[in-house]
This record gives sequence, C-alpha cells and structure tokens, in this order.
Amino acid sequence: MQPCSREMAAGGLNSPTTTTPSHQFQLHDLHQIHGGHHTHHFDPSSASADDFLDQILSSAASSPWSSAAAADLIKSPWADLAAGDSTHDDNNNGFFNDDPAAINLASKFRHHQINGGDTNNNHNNDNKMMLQQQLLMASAAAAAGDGAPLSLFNGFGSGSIQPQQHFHHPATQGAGGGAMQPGQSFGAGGGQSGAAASPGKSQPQASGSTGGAATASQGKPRVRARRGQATDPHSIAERLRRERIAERMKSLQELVPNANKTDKASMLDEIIDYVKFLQLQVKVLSMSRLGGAGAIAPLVTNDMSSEGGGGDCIQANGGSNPANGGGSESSMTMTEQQVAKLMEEDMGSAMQYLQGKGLCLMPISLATAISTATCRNQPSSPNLSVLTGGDVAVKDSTSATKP
Amino acid sequence: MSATTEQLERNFTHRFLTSLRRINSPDSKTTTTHAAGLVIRRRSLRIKRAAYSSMARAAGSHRAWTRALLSRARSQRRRQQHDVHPNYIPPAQRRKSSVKRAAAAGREMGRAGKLRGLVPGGSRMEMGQLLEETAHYVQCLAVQVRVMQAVADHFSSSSSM
Repeated sequence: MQPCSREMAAGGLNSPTTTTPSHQFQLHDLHQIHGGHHTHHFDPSSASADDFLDQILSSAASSPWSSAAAADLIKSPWADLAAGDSTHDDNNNGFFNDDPAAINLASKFRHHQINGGDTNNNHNNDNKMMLQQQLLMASAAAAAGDGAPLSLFNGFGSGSIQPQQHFHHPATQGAGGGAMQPGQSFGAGGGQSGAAASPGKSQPQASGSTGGAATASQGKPRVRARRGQATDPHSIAERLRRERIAERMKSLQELVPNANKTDKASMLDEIIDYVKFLQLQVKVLSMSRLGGAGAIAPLVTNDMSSEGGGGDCIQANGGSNPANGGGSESSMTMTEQQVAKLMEEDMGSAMQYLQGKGLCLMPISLATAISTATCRNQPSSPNLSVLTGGDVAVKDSTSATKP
Repeated sequence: MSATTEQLERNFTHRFLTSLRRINSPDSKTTTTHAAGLVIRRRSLRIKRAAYSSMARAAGSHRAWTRALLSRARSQRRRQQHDVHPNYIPPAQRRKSSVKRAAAAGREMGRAGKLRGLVPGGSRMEMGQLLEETAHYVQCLAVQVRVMQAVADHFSSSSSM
C-alpha cells in the first residue's frame, strides 16, 4: 500500500527526503479538513478552496522530481521496483500498451524533468545573453561604444526583439564612423553577423549604407541589402520571414530540453518529440486519476444500493482510514471484503475501487512469479506478498476471491 | 516561475479540479452495464478531455491553438451526444474535412507536417505562426503535466492513508 512504501522511501531510499515528509504532512492536514466536511460532496468548500489550491500548487512546486514518476510508468513496471523513484507510480501500467517509441521519448526527457529544467529558462536566457555579449564586446572593439550592445541584440534576436532595431542600428553605426558594419547583419542567426564579412567590403558601401541608414532612421522601413544579394521585395520578404522563423526557433530552443542542436531539422525533430512526450504524459496521468473510485466502496459497507450518494461518502471512507492506518493488514482485510462485495454486484465498480487504491487484480501464478522475483531484489520482504515498491501491489486474497 | 505562468497554473488547477469533481461525483454511467475495463477507459478519456479543455480555457482565447482545441472539443461533444456508440465517427464528416486537412499536413515536408499534426489548429497556420503557437503550447502543456502530477500524487496518497 502506498503509505508503507512512502515511509520506506523516506527512510533512506529516496534522495529528496526533505520534500516527502512535508508533502505527507500537508496532505494529512488536508485530510483533516475534509474529515470534517464529509457531508458535502467531495468539494473543497469555498472557505478551504484556496487552501486546497495552495496545497496542490505547493506540492507541485516543491516536488518537480516527482514528475519523473510519470515517465517511469512508461518503462517496464517490474524494472524499477528497487529504485526509489518508483514509489510514486500508480498501478496504471496495466493499461498502458508497451510502445517502444513512447519508451524512447520517456527516457530522453526524463532527466530533464528530474532537474526541474523548466524553471531554469530565465537563467539560461540571461547567461546566454551575457556570454555572447562578452564575445561580441571583445570582437567589436573598434565600434562605437553604444553601438556594440545594439549589434549583439541585433544578432541574437530573442522573442522580445523588435524589427525596428535592425534599422536604427545602422544609423548609430554610421554615426560612429562606419569602420565596422556589424549592424548590417539585420539579425541573421547568431555569430554570422557581418562583423567578419563586411569590414573588408564595407568601404564602397559605407556611403551607400549611411545614406540608407539616414532614410531608415527617418522611420521608413527601407531595407538595405548586403552586397551580393538582390533587393527586390520578394527576396526581402523571404528573408524577413526566414529571420522571423529563426527567432521563433531560438525561443523554442529554450523551452525544449536537449536543445543544443544547431541544425534546424534536428531542432524540429526535438520539438516534435517533446510535444509527443508531453501529450503522452497527459494521457498516462489521466489514466491514474483517482478520487472517484473511493465513492463506490463505502456504499457497500453502508449497505446502500444506489450509487448516487457516492460523493458524500468519500470522506467517510477517507476519514475512517487513519483509524486503521496503523497496520497495513487490517486495512487490507477491509479492502478485501469491500472488493469481494463489489465483485458480486458489478465488476466495473470493483475494478474502479481497486484502481483508486492503487491495487490490481491478477492471476495467482503471476503474483507468485512477481513475489519471487522481487524477493531476490529486496532483502526486507516480510510483507512482500502484500506490497512491492508501491507501483504494483499484489493481493494475497486473489487466491480466495478469484472466480 | 514567471507571474503569468503562476497565474496560468492557478487558473488551470481551479478549472481542472472543478471538472474532476463533476466527473467523479454524479456518475450516472456506472449504473449502466459495461465491461470493467471499458468503464475505466471511458473515465480516463473524459479526464483527458477535461484536462485539455480546462487548459485551453485557462490559457485564453487569444491563442489560435486554444480556439482550435476548444472547437474540436465542442464538435466531439456534439458527435458524442448524437451517436449511439461514442466511438463511431460518421463517415461523411470524416471524409470531408479532417482527412483533407490531415493529408495536407502530411504532404508538407515531413517534420513541419508532423508538428502541424501535433499542435491543435496547426494545419491552418503558416510556419512562423506555427512555431510561435508551438512555444506557447509547450509552455501550457508543461504546466498541465505538472499540475496533473501533483493532483495524482495527492489523490493516490490520500486515498490509501
């Protein structure tokens, strides 16, 4: 059962131990709030709605590593029993069709989620800008002091860069003496700014570009092309479009992990894989969604025939459980009885109840096979027939209730 | 986390929990006789759709992908209510719009076509807009996954305590 596995994990298997106890504590808190409201539907009443949200959000923020569990679900369910990460898995492995592509996706992006990589976006952005700023500062020594920062903003347009800067820049450069014309790059992708190419050829163009720069500074969006390139509107529009796309790709690069690909095609592949991975995670997480299954069980214990009162009784079940929480066997017996009663009526509700508990039903042969397999991995296995790692629990009672 | 991401997260969490409550409590479907596995599968599909819809609403309709996703959800719901079997797709509709659009997206040079297929409403956008929408979509998906994981953790631990 889940609580036992969590305590075992907090005992020393898992690394982020600081978050787990607080996590449990918060949930316990929430539990007590709900215990008093069991007459309502399962609804954080308006007074505690914000508390509920806060609980969820703080647990979301404090445990980014737990999202690795969703990726774990995709792997073979038996493989990670000894690993600490699997303690957060639910038993939805049974529903997931083994898909090698999905497994690849998961393994590719898992390390990113463990590091909580999404939150590092802003830092990466700033670091990159600083680094490239220093690089260009060193290379653009001759340029006017105020021109150089503009030039690098020009060269490495992130999403916030406005196109007008491209046109203002030649004005300042021209004023600065025209020795270096890096501004003529007009935001071409990183490092390729005309700093290297144009100084040699810039002399005959200097006057022309300053003339063009003068007109550009007056606000007319007239683009001055580089030497050797056509100036007809089609190719200009084409170039602008390509630059827009390059800009967007750069901003995407910061969102997607493993974004060190320089090639546009492989970057696109990475983006596609990441989107597929996220959508896969949503699917898997929706399979594990609980909270409704508990509704059905107490109806049986309360001898209610209709299932309409499910919402009221969830907290009754939840509230009574801590009383039994001391020993895992006592709650297991209660669970077994409830499942047995449910199975007489409707197999579907029995399955839902089991899913809500994080348990599953399986043939005895498979159960014994699993228990012997995990016996080898874990030295402490008094309750191994009852609990294995948390992602799958084998119930001994299957031998009694199996039809 | 930036302020807009936090706001998005709160908004999405609120909507998602509301729809979860609706899915969980008044379950009239469980009274009908269905195979056990099918009931669970149906429920997980509902949850998935609820998650996407609440994310689309939380993100706001100034984004093309949210509009496309919501209109797709609306047409799906209409089809479900009218048909006898929910998995049945009327052949006329299938032939007209979706196949043509899917073929157009597939005809496009491999990767861009794939991306269009993944991002809702992607087949109508051209490349620049597609990339922009993809960036926002990825952000929202990440938030969605984070919140759903937290909710799953909360439920799994509280139901077995």
